[in-house]
Amino acid sequence: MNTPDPQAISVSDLTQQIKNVLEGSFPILWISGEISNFVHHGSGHMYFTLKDDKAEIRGVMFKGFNQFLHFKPENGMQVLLEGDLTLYEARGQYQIVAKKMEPAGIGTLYLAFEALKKQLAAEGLFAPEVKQKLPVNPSCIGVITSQTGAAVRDVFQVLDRRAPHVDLILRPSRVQGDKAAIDLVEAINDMVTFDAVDVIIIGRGGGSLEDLWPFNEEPVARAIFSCPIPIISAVGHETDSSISDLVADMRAPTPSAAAELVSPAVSDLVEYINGSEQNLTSIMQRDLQKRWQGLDSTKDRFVLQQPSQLLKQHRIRSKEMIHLMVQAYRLGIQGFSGKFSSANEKLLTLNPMNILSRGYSIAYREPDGKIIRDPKDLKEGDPFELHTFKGALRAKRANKKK
Amino acid sequence: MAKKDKQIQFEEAFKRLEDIVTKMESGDLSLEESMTLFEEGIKLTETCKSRLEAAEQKIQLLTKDSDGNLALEDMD
Repeated sequence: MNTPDPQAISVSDLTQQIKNVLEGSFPILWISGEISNFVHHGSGHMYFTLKDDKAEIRGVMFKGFNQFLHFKPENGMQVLLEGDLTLYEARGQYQIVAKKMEPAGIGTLYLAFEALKKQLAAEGLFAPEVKQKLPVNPSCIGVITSQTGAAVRDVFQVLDRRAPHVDLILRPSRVQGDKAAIDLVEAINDMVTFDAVDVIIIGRGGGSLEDLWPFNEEPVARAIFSCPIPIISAVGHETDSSISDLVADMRAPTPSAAAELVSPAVSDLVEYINGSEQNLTSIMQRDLQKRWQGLDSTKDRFVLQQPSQLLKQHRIRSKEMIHLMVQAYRLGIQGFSGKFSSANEKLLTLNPMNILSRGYSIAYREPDGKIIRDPKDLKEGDPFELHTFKGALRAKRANKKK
Repeated sequence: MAKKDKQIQFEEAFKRLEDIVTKMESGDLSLEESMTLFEEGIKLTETCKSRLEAAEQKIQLLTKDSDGNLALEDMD
């Protein structure tokens, strides 16, 4: 019976070693070639061979990745794909596991996109800490987009509905084609030079990758980055971000979404203002009540334990004053503050307790409590109450002097 | 220069209102200060609301002549 040669290694071990070497040597790859033997399996995974005139390599694109494809791969199609080189041990086959795939023409754009993205990221242009804050309450919004596109109308509509008090300045710009990038850069610079807007929305509606391409160009990215006015990138696309999205202070999926994002709704503002009004009124009421309580407690020392009707009246008057004052302010009566201050002083000097302490007294007719100012207020024998500094006593009017 | 008076007024009034509410909430004011701020605050709420209610959207075009001078044009 043969025993295994101690020098020999198993197929599995060898394969594992090859796998380590192979997978360690090729990080992420971009590969171009022609698709053949394409199968979209019932499991959802795609299997194919990628070839050129001299060689071929097995490829697979799993369901989780191929569901994002913008096109249907077919045999004979030139494609560019990004993926990892892996070894499938069970078959001893190496293969490309694709993560992205694009038709060849667009594929080159993707390569340029990835390269620029990497470069700008390394320079720190996408860093969260360099992003500017959007104004909370802008008074003028700048829009850079095509004057004829749907995007501009959407932006105007959203802002007219939400925030008609906000002014708009449109700097028309081409948003696709060869000259668009230069125009976009110039538009940003014009907005900066003119210096009239608090925030800029730059963007366009959706389109193909080629259509959106100007928003992936380096000069546009750098102009957005160096723009001192906060800027929102709004390029209509469904999946990947554009470079302008990454470099802008904020990104929005569409220009109208950007308009929503940047405009405080008038209804919210009015609500806030009404809330402030209520706030101010209740703060003022509390403040005044506190001050009056302070005054009242001082007076309590004078009257000791005798809660007199006068003091109660005084308290009621205080409350009435506060109420009246607040009412007056709400009605916008001018100069009331001064009037109130002098009324306040008057109340203090008129505090009857001060007077009683000097030896005066006050007489109240019974039972209605009317203050007696005139002998005619009382008929002979009528009862009344005399309030002195230290307390009240009950009395009756004597007969008239003959 | 391109900002209109009404906008500056709204923005500033709104900001001032926020400041006043914060100040009054913090307390520590004399009666006179409270009263003055309160009076100003209530007036500002009216100003802000009337500005918002009166507002109409205004759209202008930023144009550039052959010498590179920038100007605003009303948009139809």
